[in-house]
Amino acid sequence: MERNFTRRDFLSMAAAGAVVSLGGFGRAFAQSSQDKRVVVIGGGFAGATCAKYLRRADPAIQVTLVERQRNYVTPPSSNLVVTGLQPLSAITLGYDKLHLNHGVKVVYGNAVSIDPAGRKVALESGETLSYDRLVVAPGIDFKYAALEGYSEQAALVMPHAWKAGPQTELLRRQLEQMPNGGTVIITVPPAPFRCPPGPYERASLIAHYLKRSKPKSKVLILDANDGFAAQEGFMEAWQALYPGMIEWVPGSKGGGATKVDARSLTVSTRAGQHRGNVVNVIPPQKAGDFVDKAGLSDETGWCPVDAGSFESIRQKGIHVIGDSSIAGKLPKSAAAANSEAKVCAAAIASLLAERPVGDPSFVNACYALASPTYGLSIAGVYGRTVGGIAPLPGAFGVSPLKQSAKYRAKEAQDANGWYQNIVADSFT
Amino acid sequence: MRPTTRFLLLCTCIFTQPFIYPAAASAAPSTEMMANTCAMCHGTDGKALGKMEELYGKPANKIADELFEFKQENKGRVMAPLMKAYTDEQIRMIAKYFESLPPKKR
Repeated sequence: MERNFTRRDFLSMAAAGAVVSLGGFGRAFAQSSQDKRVVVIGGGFAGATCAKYLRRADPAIQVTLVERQRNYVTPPSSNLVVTGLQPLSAITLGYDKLHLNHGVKVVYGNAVSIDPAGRKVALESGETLSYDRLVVAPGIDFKYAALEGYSEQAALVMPHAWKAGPQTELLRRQLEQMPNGGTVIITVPPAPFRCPPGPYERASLIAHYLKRSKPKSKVLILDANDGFAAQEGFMEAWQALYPGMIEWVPGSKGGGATKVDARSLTVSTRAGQHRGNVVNVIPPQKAGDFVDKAGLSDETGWCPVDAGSFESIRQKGIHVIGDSSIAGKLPKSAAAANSEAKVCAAAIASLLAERPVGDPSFVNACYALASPTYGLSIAGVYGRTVGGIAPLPGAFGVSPLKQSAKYRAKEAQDANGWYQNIVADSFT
Repeated sequence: MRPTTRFLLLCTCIFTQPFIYPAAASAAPSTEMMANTCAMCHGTDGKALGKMEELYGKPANKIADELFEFKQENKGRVMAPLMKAYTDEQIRMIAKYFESLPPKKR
């Protein structure tokens, strides 16, 4: 965060510094046995936010974040990279600020196993990390076996681009190389999957690109589901912006992909076979593979947790947040992950201090772009209810239909503001 | 709660809000818990980047008046449904929270 540094800032910082060093001195005597260790596995929106907010909740908690990669590419805004509107560098982040601003220790490595009884995590490097509480936030992995013909190798021909990075750029290059008059197929897996409006935002922005660069081309969405997030808003936008360019086939009309073939670029469904020039296969999903080894997932492939603390129902002392968790009616979004992480951090700080855990409050705010100047939103305040986590009465809304171009442009501007601020709130 | 009362309450919930569970009667998140949810759009501690509204250190009555307007007049795009989650008292508490954040956190 950049601000003008004034003399007053300097004085207040100096004063704060004095207080901090006195506090540190006091702690050496009073609290050495109270210093607690939390290990967070996974540095996406959930893990990064949790690490930061744990340190904010109680600076006496030592927080170690374990992350495989030095750079994180955000899935939000990656559809802008797919369609050439932004470079990959614009959505690539590091973890330095979590360390510099909040004192989070970042370890780059791969967690391979957990010893819940001994409260230890083993890393591939051989290093072992002890914890009082463990937070697991590995995001999603793909159920390759659930879609015949799809694999990591097939993804090099038919990219998923559902984990951002090289896959995002591969899909962009394929779109650039596609001939005018070609067909882009997007397959959508059965819910739940990461970012419910994501496939339809992608279809929209691809149509936006094709309309300008390859206007005879089409987008075909083969969907395993019968409805989708902000459906009416997207349909209205497609009609207005890209008439006749986007076709959506729902599950009930045979939209669900049953088999894909990378050699012929075809997708088979119950209703027939479709050949595309570019085939974007968004595969069926589950919690990050790491949770299976740790015994945190159930038969659905996701992790059941307590709604107030996100502590696993299956393993005491281990919390699961973000896409991997079963969070009631909260979607698998960066916004929900950010919100769950704060609830989890507050709960852990209370548990470690032996205080009762307070009631949670969550916000989900998701934006999708139907074009760079046409935004749609889904937002709600969620709380713990008898059924788990659900929107509070009246506090859930989707962009209203029949709005002016000015309103849509404002929501697109909100989408940019959301991105800037959620990235800063989670990673800096 | 008497069983009949509970049954009637349940009916009300089922028939008026088919997809929304009733909020637990005891739910009372702390002000900080509620205020922290604002940060994903308005920045940590309400220190916003870009064109989003800054909340940090703003007078509480200014924040609260704006939030009441969103709630009562269905304004502010996503802010309209979001504000319906809170009682007027909770909105005042959230507004005061941002006003009272200490300058040293800046």
